[in-house]
Amino acid sequence: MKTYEILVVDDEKTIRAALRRLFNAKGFIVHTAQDGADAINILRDSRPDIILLDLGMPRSDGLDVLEEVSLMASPPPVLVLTAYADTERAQKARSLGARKIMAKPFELDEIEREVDAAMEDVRER
Amino acid sequence: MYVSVSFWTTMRTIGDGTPIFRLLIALILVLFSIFVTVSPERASWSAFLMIGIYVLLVLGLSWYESARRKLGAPASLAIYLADVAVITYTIYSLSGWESDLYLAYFIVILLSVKGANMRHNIYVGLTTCGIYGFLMMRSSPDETLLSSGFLLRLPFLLIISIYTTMISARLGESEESLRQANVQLHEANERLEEKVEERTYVLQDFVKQLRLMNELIRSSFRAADLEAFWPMLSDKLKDFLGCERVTFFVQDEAGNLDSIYADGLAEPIHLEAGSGIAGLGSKIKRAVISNDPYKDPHFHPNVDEASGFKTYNLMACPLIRDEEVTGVAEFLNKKGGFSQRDMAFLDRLAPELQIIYDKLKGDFEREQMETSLREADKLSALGRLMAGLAHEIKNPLTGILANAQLMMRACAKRCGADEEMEILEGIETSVRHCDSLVKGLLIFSRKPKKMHDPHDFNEVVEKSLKLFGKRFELDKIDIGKEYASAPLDVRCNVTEIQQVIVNLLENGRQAMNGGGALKIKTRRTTMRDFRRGHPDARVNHRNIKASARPLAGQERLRASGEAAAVVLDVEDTGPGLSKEVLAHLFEPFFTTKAPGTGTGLGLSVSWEIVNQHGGLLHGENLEDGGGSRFSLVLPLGKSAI
Repeated sequence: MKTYEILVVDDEKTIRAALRRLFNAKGFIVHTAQDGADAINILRDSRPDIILLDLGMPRSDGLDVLEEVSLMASPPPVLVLTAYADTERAQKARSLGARKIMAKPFELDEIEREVDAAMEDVRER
Repeated sequence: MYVSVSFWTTMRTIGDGTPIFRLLIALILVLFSIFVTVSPERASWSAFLMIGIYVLLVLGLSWYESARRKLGAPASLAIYLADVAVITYTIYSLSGWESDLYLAYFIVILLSVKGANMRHNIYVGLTTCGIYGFLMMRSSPDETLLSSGFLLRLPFLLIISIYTTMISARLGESEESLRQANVQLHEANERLEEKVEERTYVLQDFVKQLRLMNELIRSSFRAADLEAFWPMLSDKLKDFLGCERVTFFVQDEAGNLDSIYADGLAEPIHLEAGSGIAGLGSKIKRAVISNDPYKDPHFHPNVDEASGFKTYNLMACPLIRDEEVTGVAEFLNKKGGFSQRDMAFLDRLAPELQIIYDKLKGDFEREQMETSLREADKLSALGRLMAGLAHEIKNPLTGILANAQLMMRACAKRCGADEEMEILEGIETSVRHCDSLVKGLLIFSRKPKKMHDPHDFNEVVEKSLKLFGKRFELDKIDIGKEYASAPLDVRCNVTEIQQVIVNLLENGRQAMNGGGALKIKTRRTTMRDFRRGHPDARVNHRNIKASARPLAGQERLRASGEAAAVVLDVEDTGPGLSKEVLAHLFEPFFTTKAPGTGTGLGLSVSWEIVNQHGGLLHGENLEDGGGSRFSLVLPLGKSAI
């Protein structure tokens, strides 16, 4: 069985740790990045199957990462996790190809549901 | 003798002297005549007798002299003939028929006669010639009459008579025209004096008016606010006109007058369009005086009756801007009554007053606007700060919630301990509460959306009610519904408006601990009508700051003043709202609930939401006591108008 890779991008360490724990337990290889620039570097070396992306971060932000992802051949699904879910920035993320905008604070059940749904699509590809 | 005759006639020509003056002349003549007549070689008693008769004639006729012209032709002729007869007799008695004195005498008398006109003078000349001719014929035989050339004297006499007539006529004309010119000059002078007096009054009034204006302008600049303008103006005008009271009215679109400042009156005065002296002034757009108001059919004595003040006289002067009446100034009780001068003065002053008032009002409004903009800037910065903080808090909340939930899963797997699970659930609940607070705060700082989808308002209310399930039934609360007929389309964020309605229903439910009745009613109105009925329903000024356009909320309201709107009234039968609660009803973090049970954000967030929809939220106690009513007003979308 294929082991799937997930990239978690968030500047909040506790969130990164919690998500790493959650998806490790589910059998994912979890990459974490603390900001946009970091994430873009990781994307050059590895190709995650799904990305969980925060928007507001220091150095380059989530929108930069989304732009980078949109340039990839068959880009992976991106779930945006943001405190600014009702702002113009979230709208922009959607237009850049984000699969789902999820407001922080989110429920673990909810995020699991969304990731599972996205992985279904990935497997079908 | 000759000399005395000359003096007599000379005196006759003096004409218009005063009687005393003429008497003096006569006495001098008499003395002189006596001196001449009483010379040794000519003395005779008859001469003395004649002198006596002259004196009497001089005295008598001189008194009539001034009236002679008015006597008319026959009387003048009689005097003339008597004159001639007396002198002729005198000359005859002294020198006989041959005397040459006749000629000299007749020439003098012709020169002295002033006839009413030229014809009279020619008659006098001819008569004189005739008398002289007769005297010459009596005195000389025919041959001497021709040989001595006596007859040649007659044409000479006639020429003199015509010549004197012409001179006298010319003199008369000049005298008449002089007299007329004098009269005209006199009249012109009088007219000029009147005009100068009139102009002086006008100028004095202008000077007074300028002084008053100057004082008014200076006082206006010192006025602390617009309210201070009217009493200041009232005092100045009272001093100036010397009247007892002043009332200022403003006029509405329908022409009704409402007092904005009523000197000495506790209650404001309302006058229907065109009624009262003030209404009359407004109608004809000119100042009106009533110096006996109780006999004036326009006067309203009920104002006096209500205040106990007695109006003796009054003047009403309309205030006019661009030919439109904006109000009326009414002045009461001036000693001696109001004059046309007062009226003209006020007609001139009124437009200037309007200009001062408009300027002052503009200044104060600008100042208020600037203050509220400054306030808006401050609050806008505060809003941004709050939004930033709220977003920042969400990240750690996410961390807490995610970790707590991970722990809960681990717990459930490994030990399944109820106690730990309970603690973790406590953390989860607190995080969710914290999140709802933060969401509430964010409502205050976001930009209102321009357009929402239309929703039927009755349906939105019904759905909100359903969220309560059987809650009302369990709490023994009867629900009474009364919906206005559909369609009632409102353009709104339905989730937010439902949140507001749920909040109102929940507040009503909590107010009736132990049961009661909750009345839910939708009805149509207009924004203006609702605000008229509820003047304390203000626009939430917080909205002004968050919006990109300053004052957008108020502008929107002003623009939609006549716009159709829908109201949801939620009435409970609870204890009602205390004064303190009413004063702070929509303030953030104000709550009447026990600590820990309410955030104090419910109504303030609701207000913010409604405000961002261009609507109003209002709370009040019910008129008949017991219970309160909350009203949510939203403008109707196009389809429902």
